[in-house]
Amino acid sequence: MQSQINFNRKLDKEDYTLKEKDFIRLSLELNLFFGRIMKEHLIFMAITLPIKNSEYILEADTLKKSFEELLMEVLSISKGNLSKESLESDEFVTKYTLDAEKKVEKLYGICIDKELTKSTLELADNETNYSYNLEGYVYDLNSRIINLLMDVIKFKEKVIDEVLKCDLAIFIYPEMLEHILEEAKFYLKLLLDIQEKILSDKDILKREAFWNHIMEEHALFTRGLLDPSEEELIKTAHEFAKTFEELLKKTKEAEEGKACDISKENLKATEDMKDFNISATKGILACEIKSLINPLLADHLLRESNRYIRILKEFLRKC
Amino acid sequence: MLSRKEFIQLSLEHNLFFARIMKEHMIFIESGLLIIDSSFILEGENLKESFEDILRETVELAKGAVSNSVLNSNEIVTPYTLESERITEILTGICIDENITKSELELVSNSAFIYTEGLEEKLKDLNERAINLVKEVIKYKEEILKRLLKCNMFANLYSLLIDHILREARYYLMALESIQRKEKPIKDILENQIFWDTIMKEHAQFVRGLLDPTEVELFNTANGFVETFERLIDKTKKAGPKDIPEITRKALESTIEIRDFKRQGTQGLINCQIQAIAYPLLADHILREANRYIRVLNTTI
Repeated sequence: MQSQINFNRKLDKEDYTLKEKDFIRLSLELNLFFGRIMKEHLIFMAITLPIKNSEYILEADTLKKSFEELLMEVLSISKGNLSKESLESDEFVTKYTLDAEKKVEKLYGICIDKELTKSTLELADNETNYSYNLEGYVYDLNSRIINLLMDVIKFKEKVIDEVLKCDLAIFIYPEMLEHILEEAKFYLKLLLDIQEKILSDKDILKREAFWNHIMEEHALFTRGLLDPSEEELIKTAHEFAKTFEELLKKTKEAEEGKACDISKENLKATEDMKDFNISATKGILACEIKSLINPLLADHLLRESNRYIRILKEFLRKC
Repeated sequence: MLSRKEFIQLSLEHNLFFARIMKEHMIFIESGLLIIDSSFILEGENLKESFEDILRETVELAKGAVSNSVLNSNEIVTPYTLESERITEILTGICIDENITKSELELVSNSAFIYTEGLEEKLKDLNERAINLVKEVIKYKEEILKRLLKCNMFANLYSLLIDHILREARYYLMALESIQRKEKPIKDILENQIFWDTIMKEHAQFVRGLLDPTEVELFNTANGFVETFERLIDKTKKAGPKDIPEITRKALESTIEIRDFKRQGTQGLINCQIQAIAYPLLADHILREANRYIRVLNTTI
């Protein structure tokens, strides 16, 4: 009797440890990716709001700073606690991120914490940082991020509401405002699930539909923000929008049994999109492409493609 | 050689149309620049005010002197200009003098108007000042374009848009200089059409890009106009003097269509029924340019 109890305890403990590790890893990866996405959304809003709406510009800037602080905290406990795949995916930072930030800071006059980027670039140096009670710390950090995220969602909703009523003119397409709001809500849902220890990536096709939609819209925004003289690139962007529109439809209609085939198709398209993102980021940084896309936005889109590719590959390994 | 009446009327028409176009360019530039480039914003604001002065003066001198065909063409103001200005002022915080618009709306043509030497002299002087101001604007736009193309500056403005409004400023300058020499501003009909067809094509390109991606129907229509004017420009470039009547008819047909599209766009933006990253005043602005081109084409026919 006695030994049986001990045996059970041991099993429980191992099971718990595994979960704890996953909880920490998934939380950190999610925050490193989306925390940066969120802070960049706020940068994009701050540089496209009319000067007249300076109170909104300040609000965006304050929220951005809060995200930078929390990201710094995430970074401080990330070393050694991330998966190899996530580190190799270029979804947290790319080799273009730092240059893009420098350029944007100089031309747009908005402050960007570049130490964050440098530390993120150094994450790959493997060194275990696993310490006792990290789980509690991560849980608390997630909670604080959730609170901030709710503020960001409120801010974005307020801006969209005024834009749709034509009370506010921001130089971001209304569809793009909805897009960044959707991403914030998606991030929030994933964080809430993680806090409940629920793995939310069970329904892969649903997730792929979300990302296909994101990819389609990236292509649409790129198409419109390119200078009209960039005719070839406009055509390419238009084609990508059509491709992802079709894939979105296909993914939504697909049955679970077809998930592997669909994911392969989605991966192929997203890898093409990634190449397009890379040449756009390089071209914009080198001042060879005329557009209203700032270098950081180009890099931001690239990172989202990179993350989607990792998700697809992770699933495809099970196929 | 222009007669006194022609000189007076051409001076008034050009300044009424283009001084407004110029002042609105300044509004668009100001609204697209970033706070970090506040010195450029201030310079744009000063140039806008100087053009408002020219425009105010022109409107005073134009009372009774301008032809009905100009006043009825809706190229000086449209029924939407005042409302567009109000909305744009609220959204951008940039001051727009609505009294100018109101007095433009009250302009009438008087068939018994006497074209005096005194008026001619006043306009010579006004044209001279407008010329100097346009030269400044050209320099200003060139500087912004140079910086944008070198990526030393960023603005929420397509560089093609700056290039486009720079060409319009140069066109205005050339027209004024011709008028001052008592010469007709349009020398080559087909060349003039290529200029304005290109302007129309680019308007369609700007609209296409500034529309929210959800406005799929309007996007496709705008894209169709880009193609229509591209074809027309190609044809016009290959045309000779004997093709003028046919080419002009085609240009007129396409411009009337794009004018209707722009009118619909202006109304849609004013009523907040169209999603786009553009102000109603930009829509009204390109509507007026189509209206003027239609009048010029009708004169040719």
